[in-house]
Amino acid sequence: MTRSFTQLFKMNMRMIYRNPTGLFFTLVMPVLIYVILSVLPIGKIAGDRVNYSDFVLPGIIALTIMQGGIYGLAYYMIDLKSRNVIKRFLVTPISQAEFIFSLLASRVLIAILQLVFLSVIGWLLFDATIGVNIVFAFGFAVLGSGIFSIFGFLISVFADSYEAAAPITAAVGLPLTFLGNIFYPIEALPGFLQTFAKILPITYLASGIRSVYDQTATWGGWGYDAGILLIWLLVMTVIALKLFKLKE
Amino acid sequence: MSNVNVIEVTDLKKEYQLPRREAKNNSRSFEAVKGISFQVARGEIFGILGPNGAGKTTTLEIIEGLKTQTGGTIKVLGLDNILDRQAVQKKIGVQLQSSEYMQHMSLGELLELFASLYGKTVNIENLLSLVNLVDKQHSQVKELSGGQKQRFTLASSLVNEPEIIFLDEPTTGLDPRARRDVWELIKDFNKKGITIVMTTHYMEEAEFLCDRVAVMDSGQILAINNPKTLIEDLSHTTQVSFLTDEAIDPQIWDSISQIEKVYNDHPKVVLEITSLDILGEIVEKLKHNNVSFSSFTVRTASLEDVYLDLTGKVYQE
Repeated sequence: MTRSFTQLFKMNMRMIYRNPTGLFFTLVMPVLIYVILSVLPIGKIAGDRVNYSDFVLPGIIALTIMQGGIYGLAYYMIDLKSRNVIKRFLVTPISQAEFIFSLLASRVLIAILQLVFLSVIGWLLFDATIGVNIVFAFGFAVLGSGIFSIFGFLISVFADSYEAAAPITAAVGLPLTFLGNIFYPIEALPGFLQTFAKILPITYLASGIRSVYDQTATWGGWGYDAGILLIWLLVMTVIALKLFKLKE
Repeated sequence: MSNVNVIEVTDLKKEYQLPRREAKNNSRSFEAVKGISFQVARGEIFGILGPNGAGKTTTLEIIEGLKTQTGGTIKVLGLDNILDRQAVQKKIGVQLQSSEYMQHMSLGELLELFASLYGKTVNIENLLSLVNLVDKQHSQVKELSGGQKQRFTLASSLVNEPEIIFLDEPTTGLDPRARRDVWELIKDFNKKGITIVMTTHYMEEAEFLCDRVAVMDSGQILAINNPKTLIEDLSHTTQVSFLTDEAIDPQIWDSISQIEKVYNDHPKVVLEITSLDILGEIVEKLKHNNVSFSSFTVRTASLEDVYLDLTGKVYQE
Protein backbone atom coordinates (compact mmCIF):
# COMPACT_ATOMS: atom_id res chain seq x y z
CA MET A 1 0.00 0.00 0.00
CA THR A 2 1.47 3.37 -0.99
CA ARG A 3 2.02 6.19 1.48
CA SER A 4 -0.25 8.46 -0.54
CA PHE A 5 -3.07 5.88 -0.34
CA THR A 6 -2.59 5.63 3.43
CA GLN A 7 -2.66 9.41 3.79
CA LEU A 8 -5.77 9.69 1.63
CA PHE A 9 -7.44 6.94 3.67
CA LYS A 10 -6.52 8.76 6.91
CA MET A 11 -7.90 11.98 5.48
CA ASN A 12 -11.22 10.33 4.62
CA MET A 13 -11.50 8.85 8.10
CA ARG A 14 -10.74 12.26 9.68
CA MET A 15 -13.48 13.81 7.58
CA ILE A 16 -15.91 11.35 9.14
CA TYR A 17 -14.87 11.19 12.77
CA ARG A 18 -14.05 14.89 13.13
CA ASN A 19 -17.39 15.97 11.72
CA PRO A 20 -19.99 16.07 14.53
CA THR A 21 -22.97 16.18 12.14
CA GLY A 22 -21.64 13.27 10.12
CA LEU A 23 -20.90 11.32 13.26
CA PHE A 24 -24.47 11.82 14.46
CA PHE A 25 -25.89 10.39 11.23
CA THR A 26 -23.26 7.65 11.08
CA LEU A 27 -23.56 6.28 14.60
CA VAL A 28 -26.06 8.03 16.87
CA MET A 29 -29.13 8.15 14.64
CA PRO A 30 -29.05 4.46 13.62
CA VAL A 31 -28.81 3.50 17.29
CA LEU A 32 -31.71 5.81 18.19
CA ILE A 33 -33.89 4.32 15.43
CA TYR A 34 -32.96 0.80 16.50
CA VAL A 35 -33.63 1.47 20.19
CA ILE A 36 -36.97 3.18 19.52
CA LEU A 37 -38.17 0.36 17.25
CA SER A 38 -36.97 -2.29 19.71
CA VAL A 39 -38.92 -0.88 22.66
CA LEU A 40 -42.16 -0.63 20.67
CA PRO A 41 -44.62 -3.36 21.70
CA ILE A 42 -44.55 -5.09 18.31
CA GLY A 43 -43.84 -8.56 19.65
CA LYS A 44 -42.92 -11.38 17.33
CA ILE A 45 -42.61 -11.27 13.55
CA ALA A 46 -41.84 -13.64 10.68
CA GLY A 47 -44.38 -16.29 11.53
CA ASP A 48 -44.23 -15.58 15.26
CA ARG A 49 -40.71 -16.95 15.27
CA VAL A 50 -38.44 -13.90 15.70
CA ASN A 51 -38.49 -10.97 18.17
CA TYR A 52 -39.02 -7.69 16.31
CA SER A 53 -35.83 -6.38 17.94
CA ASP A 54 -33.89 -9.29 16.42
CA PHE A 55 -35.60 -8.79 13.06
CA VAL A 56 -34.96 -5.08 12.81
CA LEU A 57 -31.30 -5.07 13.92
CA PRO A 58 -29.89 -6.45 10.61
CA GLY A 59 -32.34 -4.18 8.77
CA ILE A 60 -31.00 -1.10 10.55
CA ILE A 61 -27.44 -2.22 9.85
CA ALA A 62 -28.28 -2.57 6.14
CA LEU A 63 -30.03 0.81 6.17
CA THR A 64 -27.02 2.46 7.81
CA ILE A 65 -24.63 0.98 5.25
CA MET A 66 -26.92 2.12 2.43
CA GLN A 67 -27.09 5.68 3.82
CA GLY A 68 -23.29 5.83 4.14
CA GLY A 69 -23.00 5.46 0.37
CA ILE A 70 -26.07 7.17 -1.01
CA TYR A 71 -26.07 10.13 1.35
CA GLY A 72 -22.64 10.16 3.05
CA LEU A 73 -20.38 9.56 0.07
CA ALA A 74 -22.53 11.39 -2.49
CA TYR A 75 -22.65 14.58 -0.42
CA TYR A 76 -18.94 14.28 0.43
CA MET A 77 -18.07 14.12 -3.29
CA ILE A 78 -20.44 16.97 -4.11
CA ASP A 79 -18.83 19.08 -1.38
CA LEU A 80 -15.34 18.39 -2.80
CA LYS A 81 -16.48 19.22 -6.32
CA SER A 82 -18.59 22.28 -5.55
CA ARG A 83 -15.79 23.89 -3.52
CA ASN A 84 -13.20 22.91 -6.17
CA VAL A 85 -11.23 20.95 -3.55
CA ILE A 86 -11.17 17.96 -5.90
CA LYS A 87 -8.84 19.93 -8.20
CA ARG A 88 -6.21 20.03 -5.47
CA PHE A 89 -5.92 16.26 -5.80
CA LEU A 90 -6.14 16.19 -9.58
CA VAL A 91 -3.09 18.44 -9.99
CA THR A 92 -0.97 15.95 -8.03
CA PRO A 93 0.52 12.80 -9.59
CA ILE A 94 -1.85 10.38 -7.78
CA SER A 95 -4.10 8.28 -9.99
CA GLN A 96 -7.86 8.69 -9.94
CA ALA A 97 -8.13 5.02 -8.95
CA GLU A 98 -6.00 5.66 -5.86
CA PHE A 99 -8.29 8.50 -4.83
CA ILE A 100 -11.47 6.48 -5.43
CA PHE A 101 -10.22 3.30 -3.73
CA SER A 102 -9.10 5.26 -0.67
CA LEU A 103 -12.66 6.55 -0.37
CA LEU A 104 -14.12 3.07 -0.88
CA ALA A 105 -11.76 1.59 1.72
CA SER A 106 -12.73 4.17 4.33
CA ARG A 107 -16.45 3.62 3.64
CA VAL A 108 -16.02 -0.16 3.98
CA LEU A 109 -14.22 0.24 7.30
CA ILE A 110 -16.95 2.58 8.56
CA ALA A 111 -19.61 0.05 7.47
CA ILE A 112 -17.88 -2.70 9.47
CA LEU A 113 -17.57 -0.43 12.51
CA GLN A 114 -21.25 0.49 12.22
CA LEU A 115 -22.17 -3.20 12.07
CA VAL A 116 -20.08 -3.97 15.16
CA PHE A 117 -21.35 -0.92 17.07
CA LEU A 118 -25.04 -1.64 16.38
CA SER A 119 -24.60 -5.34 17.10
CA VAL A 120 -22.96 -4.64 20.46
CA ILE A 121 -25.78 -2.22 21.37
CA GLY A 122 -28.34 -4.89 20.38
CA TRP A 123 -26.55 -7.54 22.37
CA LEU A 124 -26.16 -5.32 25.47
CA LEU A 125 -29.62 -3.72 25.51
CA PHE A 126 -31.92 -6.22 23.88
CA ASP A 127 -30.09 -9.50 24.16
CA ALA A 128 -30.00 -9.63 20.38
CA THR A 129 -29.18 -12.95 18.79
CA ILE A 130 -25.85 -12.60 17.02
CA GLY A 131 -24.51 -15.69 15.41
CA VAL A 132 -20.96 -16.84 15.91
CA ASN A 133 -20.33 -16.40 12.20
CA ILE A 134 -20.16 -12.60 12.45
CA VAL A 135 -17.30 -12.69 9.95
CA PHE A 136 -19.89 -13.57 7.28
CA ALA A 137 -21.81 -10.46 8.32
CA PHE A 138 -18.59 -8.50 7.70
CA GLY A 139 -18.56 -9.95 4.20
CA PHE A 140 -22.09 -8.66 3.59
CA ALA A 141 -21.10 -5.25 4.99
CA VAL A 142 -18.20 -5.08 2.51
CA LEU A 143 -20.43 -6.03 -0.44
CA GLY A 144 -23.21 -3.64 0.62
CA SER A 145 -20.82 -0.79 1.27
CA GLY A 146 -19.20 -1.31 -2.13
CA ILE A 147 -22.53 -1.25 -3.97
CA PHE A 148 -23.95 1.79 -2.19
CA SER A 149 -20.67 3.70 -2.36
CA ILE A 150 -20.82 3.34 -6.14
CA PHE A 151 -24.41 4.64 -5.96
CA GLY A 152 -22.92 7.63 -4.11
CA PHE A 153 -20.22 8.20 -6.74
CA LEU A 154 -22.82 8.04 -9.51
CA ILE A 155 -25.16 10.50 -7.78
CA SER A 156 -22.25 12.95 -7.64
CA VAL A 157 -21.94 12.63 -11.44
CA PHE A 158 -25.46 13.93 -11.95
CA ALA A 159 -25.53 16.54 -9.18
CA ASP A 160 -23.07 19.38 -8.74
CA SER A 161 -24.74 20.98 -5.71
CA TYR A 162 -26.60 19.96 -2.58
CA GLU A 163 -29.81 21.34 -4.08
CA ALA A 164 -29.42 19.20 -7.19
CA ALA A 165 -28.51 16.12 -5.14
CA ALA A 166 -31.44 16.26 -2.71
CA PRO A 167 -34.19 15.02 -5.11
CA ILE A 168 -31.88 12.33 -6.51
CA THR A 169 -30.89 10.96 -3.11
CA ALA A 170 -34.54 11.03 -2.05
CA ALA A 171 -35.68 9.22 -5.21
CA VAL A 172 -33.05 6.52 -4.71
CA GLY A 173 -33.02 6.34 -0.92
CA LEU A 174 -36.72 6.28 -0.08
CA PRO A 175 -37.70 3.11 -2.00
CA LEU A 176 -34.63 1.37 -0.62
CA THR A 177 -35.58 2.44 2.91
CA PHE A 178 -39.26 1.52 2.88
CA LEU A 179 -39.38 -1.41 0.46
CA GLY A 180 -36.01 -2.96 1.21
CA ASN A 181 -36.70 -5.65 3.83
CA ILE A 182 -35.59 -3.34 6.65
CA PHE A 183 -38.56 -2.67 8.93
CA TYR A 184 -40.81 -5.56 7.86
CA PRO A 185 -40.50 -8.68 5.70
CA ILE A 186 -41.11 -8.02 2.00
CA GLU A 187 -43.84 -10.70 2.14
CA ALA A 188 -45.94 -8.04 3.95
CA LEU A 189 -45.93 -5.87 0.80
CA PRO A 190 -48.57 -6.02 -1.95
CA GLY A 191 -47.63 -8.32 -4.84
CA PHE A 192 -46.28 -5.74 -7.32
CA LEU A 193 -44.19 -4.08 -4.64
CA GLN A 194 -42.82 -7.46 -3.63
CA THR A 195 -41.60 -7.93 -7.19
CA PHE A 196 -39.91 -4.52 -7.06
CA ALA A 197 -38.43 -5.20 -3.60
CA LYS A 198 -36.90 -8.43 -4.90
CA ILE A 199 -34.77 -6.38 -7.31
CA LEU A 200 -33.34 -4.05 -4.66
CA PRO A 201 -29.84 -4.79 -3.39
CA ILE A 202 -30.70 -3.72 0.14
CA THR A 203 -33.26 -6.55 0.34
CA TYR A 204 -30.44 -9.06 -0.01
CA LEU A 205 -28.07 -7.12 2.24
CA ALA A 206 -30.63 -7.13 5.09
CA SER A 207 -31.56 -10.74 4.35
CA GLY A 208 -27.93 -11.86 4.31
CA ILE A 209 -27.02 -10.23 7.63
CA ARG A 210 -30.31 -11.42 9.13
CA SER A 211 -29.66 -15.01 8.16
CA VAL A 212 -26.17 -14.84 9.67
CA TYR A 213 -27.49 -13.44 12.96
CA ASP A 214 -30.58 -15.66 13.03
CA GLN A 215 -28.44 -18.76 12.34
CA THR A 216 -31.32 -20.27 10.40
CA ALA A 217 -29.99 -19.84 6.93
CA THR A 218 -28.16 -22.50 5.10
CA TRP A 219 -24.99 -22.05 3.06
CA GLY A 220 -27.28 -21.95 0.07
CA GLY A 221 -29.33 -19.13 1.60
CA TRP A 222 -26.27 -17.00 2.34
CA GLY A 223 -24.82 -17.87 -1.00
CA TYR A 224 -27.99 -16.72 -2.81
CA ASP A 225 -28.01 -13.33 -1.03
CA ALA A 226 -24.26 -12.89 -1.51
CA GLY A 227 -24.54 -13.93 -5.18
CA ILE A 228 -27.23 -11.35 -5.93
CA LEU A 229 -25.14 -8.68 -4.18
CA LEU A 230 -22.08 -9.69 -6.20
CA ILE A 231 -24.08 -9.29 -9.42
CA TRP A 232 -25.20 -5.84 -8.24
CA LEU A 233 -21.59 -4.92 -7.43
CA LEU A 234 -20.46 -6.05 -10.87
CA VAL A 235 -23.22 -4.16 -12.69
CA MET A 236 -22.65 -0.99 -10.65
CA THR A 237 -18.90 -1.19 -11.27
CA VAL A 238 -19.45 -1.45 -15.04
CA ILE A 239 -21.84 1.53 -14.98
CA ALA A 240 -19.44 3.56 -12.83
CA LEU A 241 -16.52 2.82 -15.16
CA LYS A 242 -18.64 4.15 -18.04
CA LEU A 243 -20.03 7.26 -16.34
CA PHE A 244 -17.84 8.30 -13.45
CA LYS A 245 -14.81 10.50 -13.91
CA LEU A 246 -13.24 13.06 -11.66
CA LYS A 247 -11.85 15.30 -14.39
CA GLU A 248 -13.72 17.68 -16.75
CA MET B 1 16.80 33.79 -15.97
CA SER B 2 18.32 31.47 -18.60
CA ASN B 3 17.57 31.00 -22.26
CA VAL B 4 16.41 27.44 -21.75
CA ASN B 5 12.68 27.09 -22.29
CA VAL B 6 10.94 25.08 -19.58
CA ILE B 7 7.49 25.42 -21.16
CA GLU B 8 6.69 25.36 -24.86
CA VAL B 9 3.08 25.82 -25.90
CA THR B 10 2.36 25.46 -29.61
CA ASP B 11 -0.94 26.25 -31.34
CA LEU B 12 -2.97 25.36 -28.22
CA LYS B 13 -6.71 25.05 -28.74
CA LYS B 14 -9.53 24.22 -26.37
CA GLU B 15 -13.10 23.80 -27.49
CA TYR B 16 -16.05 23.02 -25.23
CA GLN B 17 -19.29 21.39 -26.27
CA LEU B 18 -22.18 23.46 -24.96
CA PRO B 19 -25.51 22.06 -23.76
CA ARG B 20 -28.29 22.68 -26.29
CA ARG B 21 -29.86 25.47 -24.19
CA GLU B 22 -26.56 27.41 -24.16
CA ALA B 23 -25.93 27.16 -27.91
CA LYS B 24 -24.95 30.49 -29.46
CA ASN B 25 -25.53 31.41 -33.12
CA ASN B 26 -26.60 27.83 -33.86
CA SER B 27 -23.20 26.60 -32.70
CA ARG B 28 -22.99 24.17 -29.83
CA SER B 29 -19.26 24.55 -29.39
CA PHE B 30 -17.31 27.32 -27.73
CA GLU B 31 -13.63 27.92 -28.41
CA ALA B 32 -12.08 29.10 -25.12
CA VAL B 33 -8.48 29.03 -26.42
CA LYS B 34 -7.86 29.71 -30.11
CA GLY B 35 -4.46 28.40 -31.17
CA ILE B 36 -2.05 30.21 -28.88
CA SER B 37 1.73 29.71 -28.72
CA PHE B 38 4.30 30.87 -26.20
CA GLN B 39 7.46 29.80 -24.39
CA VAL B 40 8.55 30.31 -20.81
CA ALA B 41 12.27 30.49 -19.98
CA ARG B 42 13.78 28.91 -16.88
CA GLY B 43 13.81 31.33 -13.95
CA GLU B 44 11.41 33.90 -15.32
CA ILE B 45 8.11 35.18 -13.96
CA PHE B 46 5.74 34.86 -16.88
CA GLY B 47 2.34 36.47 -16.63
CA ILE B 48 -0.83 35.78 -18.56
CA LEU B 49 -2.89 38.91 -18.36
CA GLY B 50 -6.47 39.42 -19.41
CA PRO B 51 -10.02 40.01 -18.25
CA ASN B 52 -12.36 37.28 -16.98
CA GLY B 53 -13.20 34.88 -19.80
CA ALA B 54 -9.98 35.59 -21.74
CA GLY B 55 -8.91 31.92 -21.52
CA LYS B 56 -6.14 32.34 -18.91
CA THR B 57 -7.31 29.73 -16.42
CA THR B 58 -8.18 27.25 -19.17
CA THR B 59 -4.64 27.60 -20.56
CA LEU B 60 -3.12 27.07 -17.13
CA GLU B 61 -5.37 24.11 -16.30
CA ILE B 62 -4.41 22.36 -19.53
CA ILE B 63 -0.70 22.73 -18.72
CA GLU B 64 -1.35 21.51 -15.14
CA GLY B 65 -3.11 18.35 -16.37
CA LEU B 66 -6.61 19.28 -15.19
CA LYS B 67 -7.96 19.62 -18.72
CA THR B 68 -7.01 18.17 -22.09
CA GLN B 69 -6.51 20.36 -25.13
CA THR B 70 -8.46 19.83 -28.34
CA GLY B 71 -5.47 20.88 -30.42
CA GLY B 72 -1.79 21.79 -30.21
CA THR B 73 1.08 20.55 -28.08
CA ILE B 74 2.57 21.43 -24.71
CA LYS B 75 6.02 20.50 -23.45
CA VAL B 76 6.82 21.07 -19.79
CA LEU B 77 10.49 20.48 -18.92
CA GLY B 78 10.66 18.50 -22.15
CA LEU B 79 7.70 16.27 -21.20
CA ASP B 80 4.40 16.01 -23.05
CA ASN B 81 1.48 17.27 -20.96
CA ILE B 82 -0.80 14.36 -22.02
CA LEU B 83 1.54 11.40 -22.47
CA ASP B 84 3.70 12.23 -19.42
CA ARG B 85 1.00 13.82 -17.26
CA GLN B 86 2.11 12.24 -13.98
CA ALA B 87 5.78 13.01 -14.59
CA VAL B 88 4.90 16.64 -15.32
CA GLN B 89 2.73 16.88 -12.21
CA LYS B 90 5.60 15.59 -10.05
CA LYS B 91 7.78 18.51 -11.15
CA ILE B 92 5.31 21.38 -10.93
CA GLY B 93 3.60 23.15 -8.07
CA VAL B 94 0.08 24.46 -8.48
CA GLN B 95 -1.81 27.17 -6.67
CA LEU B 96 -5.43 27.14 -7.75
CA GLN B 97 -7.77 30.09 -7.96
CA SER B 98 -9.87 28.75 -5.09
CA SER B 99 -8.26 28.58 -1.65
CA GLU B 100 -10.67 25.91 -0.34
CA TYR B 101 -9.32 22.82 1.39
CA MET B 102 -10.54 19.79 3.27
CA GLN B 103 -12.44 20.78 6.36
CA HIS B 104 -11.51 19.43 9.80
CA MET B 105 -7.77 19.29 9.00
CA SER B 106 -5.01 21.53 10.31
CA LEU B 107 -2.53 23.34 8.06
CA GLY B 108 0.21 20.93 9.18
CA GLU B 109 -1.91 17.88 8.36
CA LEU B 110 -2.82 19.31 4.96
CA LEU B 111 0.82 19.93 4.05
CA GLU B 112 1.77 16.43 5.20
CA LEU B 113 -1.07 15.00 3.09
CA PHE B 114 -0.18 16.92 -0.05
CA ALA B 115 3.53 16.12 0.28
CA SER B 116 2.66 12.40 0.54
CA LEU B 117 0.72 12.62 -2.74
CA TYR B 118 4.07 13.46 -4.40
CA GLY B 119 5.85 10.71 -2.46
CA LYS B 120 7.66 13.32 -0.36
CA THR B 121 7.99 14.19 3.29
CA VAL B 122 8.00 17.80 4.27
CA ASN B 123 9.37 19.93 7.11
CA ILE B 124 6.11 21.61 8.02
CA GLU B 125 7.64 24.33 10.20
CA ASN B 126 10.15 25.34 7.52
CA LEU B 127 7.48 25.52 4.88
CA LEU B 128 5.06 27.51 7.02
CA SER B 129 7.85 29.87 8.11
CA LEU B 130 8.40 30.79 4.43
CA VAL B 131 4.89 32.24 4.40
CA ASN B 132 4.88 33.52 8.00
CA LEU B 133 2.30 31.03 9.24
CA VAL B 134 4.27 28.89 11.72
CA ASP B 135 1.97 29.84 14.58
CA LYS B 136 -1.02 28.62 12.55
CA GLN B 137 0.29 25.08 12.10
CA HIS B 138 -2.53 23.59 14.19
CA SER B 139 -5.26 25.91 12.90
CA GLN B 140 -7.75 25.00 10.22
CA VAL B 141 -8.01 26.89 6.92
CA LYS B 142 -11.43 28.32 7.89
CA GLU B 143 -9.72 30.16 10.77
CA LEU B 144 -7.39 32.08 8.41
CA SER B 145 -7.88 35.53 6.90
CA GLY B 146 -8.02 35.93 3.11
CA GLY B 147 -4.34 36.92 2.92
CA GLN B 148 -3.27 34.06 5.20
CA LYS B 149 -5.24 31.60 3.06
CA GLN B 150 -3.46 32.77 -0.08
CA ARG B 151 -0.09 32.52 1.67
CA PHE B 152 -0.97 29.00 2.76
CA THR B 153 -1.93 28.02 -0.79
CA LEU B 154 1.49 29.28 -1.88
CA ALA B 155 3.13 27.11 0.78
CA SER B 156 1.09 24.11 -0.35
CA SER B 157 2.30 24.63 -3.92
CA LEU B 158 5.88 24.09 -2.69
CA VAL B 159 5.44 20.70 -0.93
CA ASN B 160 7.11 18.81 -3.80
CA GLU B 161 10.01 21.26 -4.26
CA PRO B 162 8.82 22.13 -7.79
CA GLU B 163 10.88 23.58 -10.61
CA ILE B 164 7.91 25.57 -11.90
CA ILE B 165 4.93 26.90 -9.99
CA PHE B 166 1.65 27.94 -11.52
CA LEU B 167 -0.30 30.65 -9.76
CA ASP B 168 -3.86 31.31 -10.86
CA GLU B 169 -4.85 34.85 -9.88
CA PRO B 170 -2.89 34.66 -6.62
CA THR B 171 -4.11 37.97 -5.19
CA THR B 172 -7.72 38.16 -6.31
CA GLY B 173 -9.95 39.38 -3.51
CA LEU B 174 -7.08 40.48 -1.26
CA ASP B 175 -6.70 43.94 0.27
CA PRO B 176 -3.75 46.03 -0.97
CA ARG B 177 -1.50 45.14 1.97
CA ALA B 178 -2.12 41.39 1.70
CA ARG B 179 -1.57 41.70 -2.04
CA ARG B 180 1.84 43.30 -1.48
CA ASP B 181 2.76 40.50 0.97
CA VAL B 182 1.93 37.87 -1.65
CA TRP B 183 3.93 39.77 -4.30
CA GLU B 184 6.97 39.77 -2.03
CA LEU B 185 6.60 36.01 -1.49
CA ILE B 186 6.37 35.39 -5.23
CA LYS B 187 9.54 37.45 -5.77
CA ASP B 188 11.27 35.47 -2.98
CA PHE B 189 10.30 32.12 -4.54
CA ASN B 190 11.58 33.32 -7.90
CA LYS B 191 14.91 34.39 -6.35
CA LYS B 192 15.29 30.79 -5.16
CA GLY B 193 15.33 29.75 -8.83
CA ILE B 194 11.70 28.68 -9.26
CA THR B 195 10.12 29.57 -12.59
CA ILE B 196 6.72 31.17 -12.08
CA VAL B 197 3.79 31.19 -14.46
CA MET B 198 0.88 33.24 -13.24
CA THR B 199 -2.42 34.56 -14.44
CA THR B 200 -3.74 37.87 -13.28
CA HIS B 201 -6.30 40.43 -14.23
CA TYR B 202 -4.51 43.13 -12.28
CA MET B 203 -2.37 45.29 -14.58
CA GLU B 204 -0.38 46.66 -11.66
CA GLU B 205 0.47 43.13 -10.51
CA ALA B 206 1.71 42.13 -13.97
CA GLU B 207 3.84 45.29 -14.24
CA PHE B 208 5.35 44.80 -10.79
CA LEU B 209 6.04 41.07 -10.92
CA CYS B 210 6.41 39.78 -14.44
CA ASP B 211 9.52 39.59 -16.58
CA ARG B 212 7.28 38.98 -19.57
CA VAL B 213 3.55 39.23 -20.07
CA ALA B 214 1.19 37.62 -22.57
CA VAL B 215 -1.84 39.83 -23.07
CA MET B 216 -4.86 37.59 -23.69
CA ASP B 217 -8.35 38.38 -24.84
CA SER B 218 -11.14 36.13 -26.15
CA GLY B 219 -8.91 33.06 -26.27
CA GLN B 220 -6.07 34.70 -28.19
CA ILE B 221 -2.70 36.14 -27.27
CA LEU B 222 -2.52 39.69 -28.56
CA ALA B 223 1.06 40.50 -27.55
CA ILE B 224 3.95 39.03 -25.58
CA ASN B 225 6.85 41.02 -24.25
CA ASN B 226 8.18 42.53 -21.08
CA PRO B 227 5.77 45.09 -19.64
CA LYS B 228 8.15 48.02 -20.14
CA THR B 229 8.64 47.30 -23.84
CA LEU B 230 4.92 46.79 -24.39
CA ILE B 231 4.30 50.22 -22.90
CA GLU B 232 7.15 51.91 -24.75
CA ASP B 233 5.91 50.47 -28.05
CA LEU B 234 2.70 52.44 -27.70
CA SER B 235 2.45 55.43 -30.02
CA HIS B 236 1.28 57.61 -27.16
CA THR B 237 2.48 57.84 -23.58
CA THR B 238 -0.22 59.91 -21.91
CA GLN B 239 -3.87 59.37 -21.36
CA VAL B 240 -6.68 61.64 -20.20
CA SER B 241 -9.83 60.12 -18.84
CA PHE B 242 -13.01 61.50 -17.32
CA LEU B 243 -16.63 60.63 -16.69
CA THR B 244 -19.49 62.47 -18.34
CA ASP B 245 -23.13 62.68 -17.30
CA GLU B 246 -24.31 62.24 -20.88
CA ALA B 247 -22.75 60.51 -23.86
CA ILE B 248 -20.87 62.96 -26.07
CA ASP B 249 -20.24 63.08 -29.80
CA PRO B 250 -16.63 61.96 -30.42
CA GLN B 251 -16.41 64.35 -33.36
CA ILE B 252 -15.94 67.29 -30.99
CA TRP B 253 -12.30 66.17 -30.65
CA ASP B 254 -11.59 66.24 -34.39
CA SER B 255 -10.15 69.74 -34.27
CA ILE B 256 -7.42 68.84 -31.74
CA SER B 257 -4.68 67.13 -33.73
CA GLN B 258 -2.65 65.97 -30.70
CA ILE B 259 -5.48 63.58 -29.74
CA GLU B 260 -4.49 60.23 -31.24
CA LYS B 261 -7.43 58.07 -30.21
CA VAL B 262 -10.79 58.47 -28.55
CA TYR B 263 -12.52 55.71 -26.59
CA ASN B 264 -16.12 56.46 -25.78
CA ASP B 265 -17.49 53.94 -23.29
CA HIS B 266 -20.15 56.00 -21.56
CA PRO B 267 -19.84 57.27 -18.87
CA LYS B 268 -16.07 56.94 -19.34
CA VAL B 269 -14.16 58.80 -22.04
CA VAL B 270 -10.49 58.06 -22.64
CA LEU B 271 -8.31 60.27 -24.85
CA GLU B 272 -4.81 59.26 -25.90
CA ILE B 273 -2.73 62.38 -26.36
CA THR B 274 0.76 63.12 -27.60
CA SER B 275 1.27 66.39 -25.76
CA LEU B 276 0.35 67.71 -22.32
CA ASP B 277 -0.03 71.20 -23.80
CA ILE B 278 -3.55 70.44 -24.97
CA LEU B 279 -5.04 69.75 -21.51
CA GLY B 280 -6.52 73.26 -21.27
CA GLU B 281 -7.94 72.92 -24.78
CA ILE B 282 -9.69 69.65 -23.79
CA VAL B 283 -11.32 71.25 -20.74
CA GLU B 284 -12.36 74.26 -22.82
CA LYS B 285 -13.91 71.96 -25.41
CA LEU B 286 -15.96 70.19 -22.74
CA LYS B 287 -17.18 73.49 -21.29
CA HIS B 288 -17.93 74.90 -24.73
CA ASN B 289 -20.14 71.88 -25.46
CA ASN B 290 -21.85 72.15 -22.04
CA VAL B 291 -20.59 68.72 -21.01
CA SER B 292 -20.74 68.10 -17.29
CA PHE B 293 -17.72 65.97 -16.37
CA SER B 294 -15.97 64.54 -13.29
CA SER B 295 -12.97 62.38 -12.24
CA PHE B 296 -10.68 64.14 -14.73
CA THR B 297 -7.42 62.19 -14.63
CA VAL B 298 -4.14 62.49 -16.51
CA ARG B 299 -1.68 59.62 -16.36
CA THR B 300 1.23 58.14 -18.20
CA ALA B 301 0.78 54.91 -20.13
CA SER B 302 0.56 51.52 -18.43
CA LEU B 303 -0.36 47.98 -19.43
CA GLU B 304 -3.96 49.10 -19.31
CA ASP B 305 -3.21 51.31 -22.31
CA VAL B 306 -1.50 48.42 -24.05
CA TYR B 307 -4.70 46.40 -23.64
CA LEU B 308 -6.79 49.31 -24.86
CA ASP B 309 -4.50 49.72 -27.84
CA LEU B 310 -4.62 46.02 -28.71
CA THR B 311 -8.34 45.41 -28.23
CA GLY B 312 -10.01 48.78 -28.56
CA LYS B 313 -11.78 48.04 -25.28
CA VAL B 314 -11.36 49.75 -21.92
CA TYR B 315 -9.92 47.18 -19.54
CA GLN B 316 -12.42 46.00 -16.90
CA GLU B 317 -10.88 44.24 -13.91
